[in-house]
Amino acid sequence: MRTRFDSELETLYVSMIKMGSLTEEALTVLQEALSGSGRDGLDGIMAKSHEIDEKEREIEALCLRLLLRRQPVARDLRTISSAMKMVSDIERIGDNAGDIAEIIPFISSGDLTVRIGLDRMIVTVIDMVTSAIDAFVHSDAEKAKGVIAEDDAADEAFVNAKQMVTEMIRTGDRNAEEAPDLLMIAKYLERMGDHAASLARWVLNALDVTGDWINNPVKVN
Amino acid sequence: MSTIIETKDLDLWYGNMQALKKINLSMEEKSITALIGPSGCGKSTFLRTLNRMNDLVPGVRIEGQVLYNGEDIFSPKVDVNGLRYEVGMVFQKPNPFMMSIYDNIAYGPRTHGIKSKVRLDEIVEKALVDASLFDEVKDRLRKSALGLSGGQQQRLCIARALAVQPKVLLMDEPTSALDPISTAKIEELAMSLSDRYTIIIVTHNMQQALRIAHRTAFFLLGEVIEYDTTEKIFSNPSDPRTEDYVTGRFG
Repeated sequence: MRTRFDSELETLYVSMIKMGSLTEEALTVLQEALSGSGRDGLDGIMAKSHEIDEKEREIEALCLRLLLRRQPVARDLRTISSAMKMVSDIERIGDNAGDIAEIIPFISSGDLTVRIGLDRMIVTVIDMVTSAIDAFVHSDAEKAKGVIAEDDAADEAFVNAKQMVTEMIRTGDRNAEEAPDLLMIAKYLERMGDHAASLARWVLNALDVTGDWINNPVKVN
Repeated sequence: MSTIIETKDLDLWYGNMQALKKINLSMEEKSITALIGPSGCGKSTFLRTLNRMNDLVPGVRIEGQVLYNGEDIFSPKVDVNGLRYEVGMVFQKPNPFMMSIYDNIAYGPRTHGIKSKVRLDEIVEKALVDASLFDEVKDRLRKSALGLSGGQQQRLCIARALAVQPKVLLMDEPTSALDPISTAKIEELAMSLSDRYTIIIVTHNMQQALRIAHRTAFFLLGEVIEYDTTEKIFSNPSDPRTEDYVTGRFG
């Protein structure tokens, strides 16, 4: 009876998955570089980031069209309004990936990033981003809550990285000059974790876990 | 806010067909309550019960109570005409009497025994002003009401209801026969009247319920499935049947 609307919502889900997988591709390239397995593909990250921007505009336009034409209420309204907020977070994650890709060439070797734990930190971030989008598409509140909990691990990884970087400077490590760049990468990863947690909170609002999402939304950041 | 109308276990049958099942609703004074639901779900029947218009339907049987200001409207000592003055009704299709604009509005007060020309002039003007129609018709009060547009006729019917100083206005899909501009005027009017009158409106237009109603009741197959603030009904309804209806999955 509302087949067309349902298929438009399906299109929205598919576009969100597509945007998420573009982001995941960019993050996987970073993971290789940060774990010292190779820096091929870093040049492609900027292009990927632009593709993500493009997808954001496309999804925003789709959401606005749905708001205008379907005047959605209840679950539909929650889904569409959450999707509109989520694409901004995904886009920021894409930007941060671009920022990291620009810094990596100034890091002399993959050993350094492994030494301060950035290789593991990005694994956490990738898992958070993919799980958040998965939770949205499959209406999985538990998974979304898991992402928010995982953000603590990302924050902790940042604190550890900061301590190790400080230690490099304090002890006059021969790579101490690279310390600020390493700290920047750690900070960008930590920001990505925050955006992923924000994605998960929008999922919880779409699912209305508080039972009163307008007046009592799950707080985002 | 205090309750002005309350129903208790209200059942209604048309012959063997039960049209209302154990309806327990309480309507707050000076607010707008919307009744929504698919065709045949009992919302208009419920509305008509509130001023005993269903008494006129042959074979109707009612059990339970409708309390108006705490008093059962089915009690033998209730004066039905008096009740209908206090609980007025506006129908889906505008139904002005075949008389002048002025006489349409003066009709009720006259049957109340008001004869003074000055007093009637006051009442007619006030009712037309309150119904946001005065400026449009003030130069042709003696002309036939049938010459008005559909939207103006509907506002005239509202003015006619207001002229007898009701407390409650029942509106049965009052805008379904009107164009968007006339609809917007009626909605504005309903909202501005709601600080003085209690309005209960049946509507098939869910956006209309969203725009104007404080509370919304969802009827299905003669039952009230959910009754809550309009915001709650349309943002996170408690019952999946409400969710399915407001999102257009059935109905």
